[in-house]
Formats: sequence, C-alpha cells, structure tokens
Amino acid sequence: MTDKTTHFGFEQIPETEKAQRVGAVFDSVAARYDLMNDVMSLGVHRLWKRYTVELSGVRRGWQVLDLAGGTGDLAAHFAKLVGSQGRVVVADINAAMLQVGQDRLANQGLVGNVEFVQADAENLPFVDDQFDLITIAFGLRNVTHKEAALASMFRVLKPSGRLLILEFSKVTPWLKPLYDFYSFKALPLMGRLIANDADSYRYLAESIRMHPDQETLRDMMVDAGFEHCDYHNLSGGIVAVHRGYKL
Amino acid sequence: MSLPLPLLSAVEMLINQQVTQPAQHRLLVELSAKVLAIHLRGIDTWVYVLPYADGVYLLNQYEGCCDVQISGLPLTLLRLFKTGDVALLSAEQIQLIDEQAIFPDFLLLFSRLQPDWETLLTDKLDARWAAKITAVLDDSRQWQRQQQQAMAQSCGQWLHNRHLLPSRAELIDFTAQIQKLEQDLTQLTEKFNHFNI
Repeated sequence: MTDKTTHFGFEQIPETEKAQRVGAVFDSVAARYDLMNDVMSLGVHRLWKRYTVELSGVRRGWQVLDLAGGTGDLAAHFAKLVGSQGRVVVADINAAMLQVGQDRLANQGLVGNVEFVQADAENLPFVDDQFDLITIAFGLRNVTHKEAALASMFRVLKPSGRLLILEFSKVTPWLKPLYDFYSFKALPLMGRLIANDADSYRYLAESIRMHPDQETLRDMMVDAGFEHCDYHNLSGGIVAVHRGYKL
Repeated sequence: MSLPLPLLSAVEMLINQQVTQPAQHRLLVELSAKVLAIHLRGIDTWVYVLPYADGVYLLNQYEGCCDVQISGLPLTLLRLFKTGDVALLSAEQIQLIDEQAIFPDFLLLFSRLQPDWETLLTDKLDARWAAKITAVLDDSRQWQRQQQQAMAQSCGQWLHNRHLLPSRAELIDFTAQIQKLEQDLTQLTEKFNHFNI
C-alpha cells in the first residue's frame, strides 16, 4: 500500500504526518510569533490585517469565525467591531497558539464576546450556516487538504456570508529576486537570532512557495461553492486577500 | 476615492492615544453601538467612525447602516471637530443627516482630544528630548497664534484706513437702527394680532 504524500515546505512527506509537523513548527514559534511577525514584515502585517478588516464589511452583532486565529490579531479587531451583541470565535488547531491568543485578548480586556476553540479547519465543529464572516489569516497554506477546509468553511457560513483569506501569495516578477533573497537567506537568519529556530522560518519561506497562487486559490474557492470571488494583492503580491461569498 | 490605509491607521492611532480621561471613556461607551459617516466633499471620500470602549476605528469602507452622516469640506470639518463649535453646523458648507441628536456627542469626543505631545513622545524617545521637542512645538503654536492676531489686526487697520470698514460709531448706529427696526416689527405684529388682521 502506498501512502499519499503532501508537501511540508519543499519536502514531500506522508499526508498523515503534515498536521503533526506543522503543529511542531507552531509550538516552537508560538511564544515569539508576534515579535517575529513584526520583525519579518517591518510591521506591515498590521496593515495587511487592517485591510482585511476593511474588506470584511463586519457589522455590529455579527458572528465571526477567525480560523487559524492563533494569537488573536484579527479577532481583537473583530471583537471591538461586532460589539456585545456579536460573537467572535477564534479557532486554531494548535493549543499553544490558542493559549497565546487567549492571554493576549484577556490582557486587552476582550473577553465578553470572544470564544476560543481548538479545531481542525478541515472538519469544523460547528453547525451549518452559523457565521456571517469567516477569516483565515496566514493559515490556509498549513492545511493539508485545502479543498476539504474550504468546503468545511462553506458549510458553516451563513447564506450571504463571506470568506476572507489573507495569505502569502505570488509576488510580481520584478520583486522576485529580492523576495527570494529575503525569504531564503534573511528570514532563517532572523529566525535563528530572534526565535532561536531557523528551521521553522525556513519552513515558512518554503511553504509560501508551495501555496497556490492568486488565480489557483480563487478557482479553488469557486470549486468549493463560493461566488463573486475576487482577490486583492498587497505589497506587490507578497500577500493577497481573497474574498468569496456564499449566496 | 479612499484615504491611504497607513494615513487612516496613523490618525486612528493618534486619536486613540489621546483617549485617556474617564469622561472620554464614558462617552465612547455611550457611542459604542453608533456609526458616524464622514463625507469629505471636494475629494469625495468617506470615512466611517466606529467607537468602542477604548477608542475608535476609522474605516474607508463600511457596508452597514450609519446612524449619522456629516458632509463638508475637509478643512471646515477639521475646524468643526477641533473646536467643537456647534454654530459651525449651521454653516451651509456642512450637512448633517439621519440621527442628528447623537452628533454633539461625537463632536464632544473629538473636540476633547488635545494631544499631550510630551507624554506621547516620552513613550518613543528619551524624556529630555521629548521635553525639548514639546517646548519647540509649544513655541511654534504660540508664534502661530501671535502671527494670526497680528495679521488680523493689520488687516483690520488697513481696511479701516481704506474706508472699506465702517468706523466704530457707524457700526453702533447701524446696530441701533437694526434693533429699532426689530422693535417696530414686533409692535406691528402685535397690532396685527390684536385686530385679527
């Protein structure tokens, strides 16, 4: 019998191992995840997330699911915007990341309308048609079966609800040499110096290259049933926000 | 057209850093379910203000319903929010629609924002440098005020010398005539009412 394989960065591994290995990466970086994000993106990740909030169209009273919500960056925005009548569920497969997010939001006084759930994006433990908005920021590329995850998101989204995917993507050609140098040389070095973990940050760079490009991901969303799908490139395509609706 | 996100985020951060007084927090809590839409006429740009307990969000896009909308030229609106002068609302350049009753609360919130530059800068810089920069800022504000006053005085003098402005005696006489006219009108109205004309 032959095991199905998938990519873990540039490495091919059995599918059954991916979740465990991704989990190990995030266990390793959880404590310094935010610091590293700031250093790696020179703080621009805050603007990317902020732009995602703008595209979300979030309103008072909405039910929001922040998938792979980890340290709660997006959830903190949404918790303020949905108000006390709304609800934000932060879901992440990784308990360590979830704990960091829970502590952080509690420190900001955001407790009343936020819930934390350890969940696998491929098999979401929620009833159908529950959320007005689902976001997944820098999480989809770590999911083994992206199609299954998109189908699961479609199921729990309310009709007229929307999905936003913020993810690293394919950069414009003129930026590629600089971006490659930064990703494969500078990033692991920074990972070693700041988080004492070069391997995890090498995985980050490699997993970005293996992630579907803008058009492919949009097609995947359409295949999952989402409509009016579009994407917005940010910072020369370093990241893209994909948006789709369940109608 | 929409404002650049870094600019909007910077303004939002600046506003939220100045929300320090308990009265401001109380106001934010009262306003926290409301949405103010600001239309910057001239550059045809919308900015949405969404308050929450500790600050406000400034968004370029908001798809929900807004509780109150204000439309005006950017500088006029800036002056309105800075001074909190409700009299400016009667100016033709500013239009206020929807739930107008809550707008004074928004105005109060913004007009109470007086940046304490020294505290803000001390967070980022050495205290001595923060104090020096604050002193320079204070001096420049003082200088700006003096120059404005001097210019207004010079303009007034010039207009007076050129006989483009009436003298003080002429103004008093003119005001007295207006008052007399108002009194006559009131009396006349009363007479009409008395005779049921």
